[in-house]
Amino acid sequence: MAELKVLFKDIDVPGIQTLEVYEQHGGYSALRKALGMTRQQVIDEVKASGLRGRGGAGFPAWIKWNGIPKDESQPHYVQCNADEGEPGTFKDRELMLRHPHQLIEGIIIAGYATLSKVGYIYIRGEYTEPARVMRRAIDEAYRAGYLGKNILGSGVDFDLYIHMGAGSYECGEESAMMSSIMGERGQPRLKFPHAPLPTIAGLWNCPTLINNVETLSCVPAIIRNGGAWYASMGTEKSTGTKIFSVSGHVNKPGNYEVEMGTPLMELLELAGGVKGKLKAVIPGGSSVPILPADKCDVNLDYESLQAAGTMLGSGGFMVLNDTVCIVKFMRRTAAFYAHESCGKCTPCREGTRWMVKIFDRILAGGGRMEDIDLLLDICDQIDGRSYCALGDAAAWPIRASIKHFRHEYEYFIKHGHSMVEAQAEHSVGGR
Amino acid sequence: MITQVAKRFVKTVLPLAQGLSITFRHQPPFHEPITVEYPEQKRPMYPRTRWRHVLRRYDNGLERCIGCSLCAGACPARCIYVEAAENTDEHRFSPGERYARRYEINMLRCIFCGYCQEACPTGAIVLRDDYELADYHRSDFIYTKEMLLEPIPEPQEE
Amino acid sequence: MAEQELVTIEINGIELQVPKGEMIIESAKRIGVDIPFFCYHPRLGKEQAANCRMCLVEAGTKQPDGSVRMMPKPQTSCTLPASQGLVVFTDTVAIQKARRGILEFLLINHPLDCPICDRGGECPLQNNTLFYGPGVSRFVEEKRHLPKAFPISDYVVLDRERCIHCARCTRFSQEISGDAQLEFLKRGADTMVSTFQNTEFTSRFSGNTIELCPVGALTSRVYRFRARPWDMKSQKSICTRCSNGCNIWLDYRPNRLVRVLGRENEAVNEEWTCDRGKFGHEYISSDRRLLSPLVRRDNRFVTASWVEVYQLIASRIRQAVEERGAGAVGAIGGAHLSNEEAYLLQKLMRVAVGTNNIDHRLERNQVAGGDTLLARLGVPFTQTAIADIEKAKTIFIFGADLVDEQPIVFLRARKAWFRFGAKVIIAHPEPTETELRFDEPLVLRYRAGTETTLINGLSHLILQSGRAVTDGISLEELQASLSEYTPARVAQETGVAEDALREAANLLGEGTVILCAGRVRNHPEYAVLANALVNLTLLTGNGSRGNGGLNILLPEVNSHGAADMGVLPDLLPGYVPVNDREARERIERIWKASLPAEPGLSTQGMLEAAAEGKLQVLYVIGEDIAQKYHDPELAQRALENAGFVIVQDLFLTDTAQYADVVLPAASVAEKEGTFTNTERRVQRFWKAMNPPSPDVKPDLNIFAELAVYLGKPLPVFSAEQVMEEIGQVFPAYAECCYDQMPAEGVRWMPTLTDRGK
Repeated sequence: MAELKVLFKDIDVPGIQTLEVYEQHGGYSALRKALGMTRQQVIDEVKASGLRGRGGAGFPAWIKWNGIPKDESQPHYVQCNADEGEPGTFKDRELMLRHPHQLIEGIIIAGYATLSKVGYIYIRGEYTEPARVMRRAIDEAYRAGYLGKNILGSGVDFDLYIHMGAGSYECGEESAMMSSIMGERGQPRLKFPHAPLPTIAGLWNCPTLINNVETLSCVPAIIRNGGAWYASMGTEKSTGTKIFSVSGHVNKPGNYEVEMGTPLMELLELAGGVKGKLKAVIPGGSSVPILPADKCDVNLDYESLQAAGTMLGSGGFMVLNDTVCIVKFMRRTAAFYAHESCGKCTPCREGTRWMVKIFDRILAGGGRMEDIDLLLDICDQIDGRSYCALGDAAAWPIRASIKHFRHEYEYFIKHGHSMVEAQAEHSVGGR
Repeated sequence: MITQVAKRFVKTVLPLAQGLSITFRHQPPFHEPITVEYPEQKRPMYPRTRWRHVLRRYDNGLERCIGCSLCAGACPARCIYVEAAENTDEHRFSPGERYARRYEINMLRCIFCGYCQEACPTGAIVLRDDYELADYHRSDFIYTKEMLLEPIPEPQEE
Repeated sequence: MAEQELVTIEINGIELQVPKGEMIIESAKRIGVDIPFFCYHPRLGKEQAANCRMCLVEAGTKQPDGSVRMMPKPQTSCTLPASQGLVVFTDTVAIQKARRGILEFLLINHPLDCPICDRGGECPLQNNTLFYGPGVSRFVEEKRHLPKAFPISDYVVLDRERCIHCARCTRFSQEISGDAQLEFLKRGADTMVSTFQNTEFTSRFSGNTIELCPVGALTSRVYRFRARPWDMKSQKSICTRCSNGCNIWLDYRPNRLVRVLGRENEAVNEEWTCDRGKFGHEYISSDRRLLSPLVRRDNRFVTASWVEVYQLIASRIRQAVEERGAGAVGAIGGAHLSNEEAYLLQKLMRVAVGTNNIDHRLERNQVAGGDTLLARLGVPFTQTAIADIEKAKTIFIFGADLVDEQPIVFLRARKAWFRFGAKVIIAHPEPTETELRFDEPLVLRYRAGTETTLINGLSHLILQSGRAVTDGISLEELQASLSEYTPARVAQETGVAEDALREAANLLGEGTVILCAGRVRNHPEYAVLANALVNLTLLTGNGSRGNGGLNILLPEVNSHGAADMGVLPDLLPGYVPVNDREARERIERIWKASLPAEPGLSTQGMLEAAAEGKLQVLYVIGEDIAQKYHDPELAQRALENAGFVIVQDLFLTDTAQYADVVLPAASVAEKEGTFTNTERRVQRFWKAMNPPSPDVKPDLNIFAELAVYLGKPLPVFSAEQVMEEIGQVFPAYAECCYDQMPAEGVRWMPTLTDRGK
């Protein structure tokens, strides 16, 4: 199977970043079409497409769209999550850098459907280049009358702002992002059932639609071609296509857009095959549980991966071959989450740092056998007890790595050095 | 008759002699004396004897007591009074932030239970073997910190 | 208040009904189920932080078929609202494990220096660890190290190693006091509390963060290392530093006050205190307290016995009365005395000496106790209860820097704005700190001296708008008298923009609380201004109903009580004019004595008379008039030229330097009685400690004993007995008998006119 390009259809067209070329390739026709439809028709079209959130959780997009109140007693907002902080994920970067107008068009349609007059694109602080491209595209769109007052003479107003992050992974969490946009500390806020959903009380306590870059980028194609067309791709429950950011030990790393439900191994072949012997795959960014090679015979869709004990996540597809020491790899992962923990809640703040200290001790040769169970117990204490999903995300990969590669941990603790590296040395010496 | 007298004699004197023999056996020159000539001589105390309190110091001369008042809290007779203050770099009494500015024990109230020693987190207060605690005035039974503190250890020469 | 909707929930298998939306942590308290917590605090925030994760519970909802669907993760009970059919388990094995886990996490970076920590012994972290924590820690690495005992202000010291990041202090400073001086720096395990770039923590409410801190991270510099919780005793008392009447705990060791804590009283201070109250009671245990009576001999003070000084004072007073009449004796003071003492003082002067020369006011305006308000609104000074300020629709802070002058009233006003969305208007000639504590209040920056014009201008606008309420006043007449205060003219005179005036007038209406303080009390034309303010209050429909009203807040702890007790030259207790024969005779019958019918001299009058040498005996009680009188020079001249000066105080004040006899009085911690705060709330305080010397006596005893030496004994054995007599003389105080006074005090209701509320 080859790639199935929906989002990436025109991405190789030279100059597609400019409004002119984009319009030549049908750009903003979806917006024109949407403005001709009623708001509910737009939402129904998204519903028909079966589009699910591409940020990680896979929540059906139309439910959020439909959850926004249908009256204008309060201002409504669209919040586009472009804080692509997940290690191993770089799809949004490409979508913004090479196809900015597709995203802008999607946001405007979302704004029209949800009665919003203001949109925010929250771009992570490190993405200065995509932000520059986006800013230029927004300026173009304003000049062409796609943004601002009275869009295309329809009487609809929509303003779009870019809000740059300041280098915090946590701000990719939707409620922390709201805090950040509102000028507060980038920490998560209470969620349902403790507080109303963002669709009721989000930014400044007003209804807010929060979607990922990839989700919103899908919208123009869905409006243009109809929801049924989109739903015809993929599996029954996971419709459409998904971009995977393949990285690690493959011959051709990069972004690949494939149909939902594509077998994992096919994606690997698409990316030029594995360098060396496949050891494990992390299919959805560093937060999701690791999948060892013998369990890699799965299809890439929300349900199949769930069944295999991992998640589709954000599509950060990391491939590890047998030269990777899992203990060292997990130490790096743990250090990332300890560094990025916002410090709000106890389990995540203290637990992530503690795990790093334990890993450091193991790596320094001071490990004890009970440390493995201690790590598992700390994972249990963080998972489900933390304020937001960052804590869970810190615990899952470590727990899965111990489940699948416990022998590597035991070897490291027993011998004070890595099993993988020892084997490599051995084989070199034997040759 | 004579036998009767002899019998009687034996009956009365023999137990007496037997008893006294035990007495004599425990007397010089047959045995070391058991009593001591207090106060010229003193009997050694058992190592865990609980008598007069002592406030200990570290080897470098700093006081162990940090004025935490846990002893006062633990004391069932409520006979300990502690007032703490803050160490400064110029006037340092103990390591850390806190020291006891006043430390007083009312020995008339103390029941020598040793709970203070048990409560002490730094091992500062200990009950030692000095049992000569009599005095003439009630006010003299308030033992102040100066009275309780160990002398500063002599610098050890090598 | 509307009836709240009740829902049925189940906690640990016990079914109960609670108001819908109540947090489960509160519901659990109703059935005595203990849920441990650190960051939860019911008064903080519109929503709780839920960041300590200590209060986790397992929750589920009852399905229609009777089964229970559990939520996949444990939930924080401090943010879980009660809803119909909610099922909660607080003590399952999983929850016990979660609690152990959280405590282990908290303790991996918490130093175990409890023995030297001022929180040790009353520390939530200690307690929760004892009850719910693991016995041992599996953490073998090095703990985090940060500077210990880092002072962030004169009052507060910060130990970042001990911080558990519960965010109570930062939330307090952002949401309650509004100065937002504390915030977290950095993130993750490096998070730390700090002021902006380690500048000084200058909040006027900083002491509350010490009490809020669930560990010993924020501790008091004043209380530092003075005592452990088990060393102290506590006594209920009332703060004496302003007229708000905060309820406090006095914590003391034998004869030494070690600290002051806020005491809960929903009607007054909730549980907060200001820093002046929290750290301003050090004087009680000062080394410089007077320890015995002093008599001036050869221009030096020598100690004397009470008998000597009583005899001396009695002979001098008798001599003055014989030579020049009772009018040659005067007494100043009372605003710092308890109600009982103030009552006895004026009775002493009126009955034993026979003069009305008695006054407690040191400020410029010595118009009798709030006569304008009393006549037109039926209350002497304040219409609104402090607790009712939070129900206000609009708060009009007029000429007052509330943060400084009336801190606890300010906290209520801020709560009304922050929590309940009241509108705020601040009128002041200069920028004040209070303005900074509200987000963009409507500020009317008038020129000093144009207060009356501004108020009349606002009344004029309200009359014009047609929203004016006829509340016992003739609108036509008022319209005529205010017709010249056109917006244009008012704007020109006061310097306030016309638009701002109109905006302010639109905000004023029913439910408006007007808060005034020193600037209004000391206004050169107080009577005119007070009339204008009353007009505005009546026009907006706040004369006698609703939560709005006019409030002229008072300066000293018992200013209100002293006025109630008749420590005034022209009014007897209960605001009875001395020249009202019938009313006077009623009091004469109770006191079994005849009273002087002519009004006496006010403070100003007494001081002027003394300065001219006309006052033979000047008795100053608890007031440092040489320093604090609004015209200190006059006070000093008066003290110099008065024939015989008696000063009764805690310290050898500047005033005492002029004295012939100095009497040592007991402080608030060493006696019992009641104070009446600015909202008319009579509150009790209790004796905590013994006075620093047996020769220091409560003022009550001094007055009673002096009366004996003057030959007119006022038989008194206790403050309680005096309060019973006050109840007879001034029926509004009848409910204030000690044995029936409720814990939150009694807010006495004026019965003088039907307007009172």
